[in-house]
Order: sequence, then structure tokens, then C-alpha cells
Amino acid sequence: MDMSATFKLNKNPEKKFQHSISFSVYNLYGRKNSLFVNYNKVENSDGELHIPSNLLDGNRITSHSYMFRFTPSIAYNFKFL
Amino acid sequence: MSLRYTILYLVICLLLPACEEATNFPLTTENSNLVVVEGTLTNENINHRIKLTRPYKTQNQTPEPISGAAVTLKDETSTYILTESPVESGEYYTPQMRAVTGRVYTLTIVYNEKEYTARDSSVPVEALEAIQYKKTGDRYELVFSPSLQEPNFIEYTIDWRNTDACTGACSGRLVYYDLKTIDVNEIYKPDKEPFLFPVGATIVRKKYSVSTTYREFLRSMLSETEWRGGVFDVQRDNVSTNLSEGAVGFFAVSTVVADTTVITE
Repeated sequence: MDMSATFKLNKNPEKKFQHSISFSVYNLYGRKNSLFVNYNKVENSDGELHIPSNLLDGNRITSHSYMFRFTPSIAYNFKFL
Repeated sequence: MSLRYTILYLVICLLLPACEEATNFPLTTENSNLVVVEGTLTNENINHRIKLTRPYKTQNQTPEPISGAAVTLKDETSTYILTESPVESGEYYTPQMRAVTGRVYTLTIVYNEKEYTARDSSVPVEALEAIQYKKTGDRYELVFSPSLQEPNFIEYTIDWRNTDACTGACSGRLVYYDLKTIDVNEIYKPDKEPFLFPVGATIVRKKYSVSTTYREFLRSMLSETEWRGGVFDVQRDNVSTNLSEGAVGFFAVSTVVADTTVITE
């Protein structure tokens, strides 16, 4: 889920410009949204994932990559009328 | 000034974390009647193996063998009948023979009233260059680099089971592909796990020549396996094949040179 809110900053509508500030949050729940899934890696004793060099290592695991969990942002908007 | 650094730090913390972790997604599988063919005929005077299996249904599964097929191999002058050994293993062996460089070989598989065929011929192989390895801690590691002009791959079979340094698994099989292509997914392929071995290990190297169609197969196979998961992946696709009637895999004919090295101090 994403959320955003925009606040108008100028009180007087007769002015020759408008400005506002926006707050938004991408991925509010911080879910691990998969970018891609791979089936070709092995996990070593440190928990790191690698392509195996030794083809006799048979135990491949499924792994997924994700990015941008809970991401807030602020934007300032300025517009001449 | 400190506020600026704090904001910069926060931005980096929020935007950069891209993470890869093990997961347990359920895989949807379907029963498939596909025939998977693996086999390489070489210039070694041995019983060459053609392996017939069904596709995997789950990850790390031992593939189900295809037993009872009639498998033959033909060249311009002879026909060789392959024998399944052991019975119901899905592994079919030629009589002792060697493939001649440049000669076209045709593989024919008759199974379930369907006939699958594949053709390939080998190209000459270039000589093996000196093996390169370096010391990493108290062990050694192979150093891979492209060699000469023609596409090839080198298979390394490493064994130190008969040395004092053997504890646990003491062997490995590594393959270094040098296909002489420029593939961005190969350049940015994911890291491989280092493979270390001790003094006294025996390394058998076999360098295989690669025909044009075999190179296409290897390139698409690597794009779906070793090269998958880097920064610039290609669109997923079926791996190319030289088999007819919808079978998958590849029947290759290759010229091989080999040598053996024992690692010393």
C-alpha cells in the first residue's frame, strides 16, 4: 500500500503562484515485493547466496530479490498561475 | 552540515537496500511427456553415453529415467546400436568408438512410437594452455581466463580423496565456458562460490571444442542457469535444441584434449 498527502501552503488564492508540500510513503507495510526469483543458487555456512562452482553440489535453493521496502518521500511543488 | 549528512545517510539507507534471500515459493508443476536428451560424442576411444530423462518436477529432484528406448547413432559409413546399462537407468552406451572430427553424426531415438533425431559434427579443438592457480590461505584456487581463438569449454575434475588433507567431500567438478561471445548478462553474471583445494589434489582438465549450434545451445543454457540473477538478465526463454519432435536437450559432437596436473607447493 502507498499513501500520500498534499498540503497547500498559500492561504491567499489571489496570489500569482501556488505552492504546496507533499508527503508520501511507498510500500507502507514494508512488504518484500519480489523483483525476480531464481532457482540456481546455493547457500553457504554464512548464509550468503552464490552460484555454485562445484557442479557436484546438487542442493539448489529458490531465492528472491526485492528492494524499496518502507520508503517515505517529501516533495515541494511550486506553480505560477 | 550534520543535518545534510544525516539526510544523505537516511536516503542511502532507504533507497539502496536491495536484498536477496532464500524463499520457499510453491512451484506449480505439471506432468510433462517431454524427452530430455543429454549426450556428447567425443574423439576419445570409449563407450559414449546418451542419457534420456523426463524434466524435473521439483527442485533438486533426481530426474526420472526413460527406459526401453531404441537408440542408434549413424555416421557416413556405420551404424552403432546403443545399449541401456544398467537396465532401466535411462543411460545408453555406444560400443567403444571415437568420433572423427568434421564427420556428421545422426542420433535417432525411437520411444513411444515417436522418432526423435539430432545431428551434429565436431570442429577441431585448440591446445590446452598452462593451468593457472593461486594460493588462497593454506589452499589453492583455479584462475580462469579466456584462451586462444575458438569457442570452447574446459571441464576440471578435482580430487584429493587420497591425500591427508581429505576431510568430508574431497572432490569437485568445475566447468569454465569460453564461448567468445559478448553477452551483457555474462559480463554482469552473479558471483560464483570460490572452490578451494589442498596441496596434493589431482586436476584432470578436458577441453571441448564447440560447434556453432552447440555454442547457441550453451549460450541459451547458461543464460537460464549460471548467468541468471545478475544486473542485466535476458528475458526467460526455452533453451535451444538440435532435437526434432519437441525433445529438449542437446546431442553434441566435440573434439577433446586432456591433461592431468598434481598440485605441488
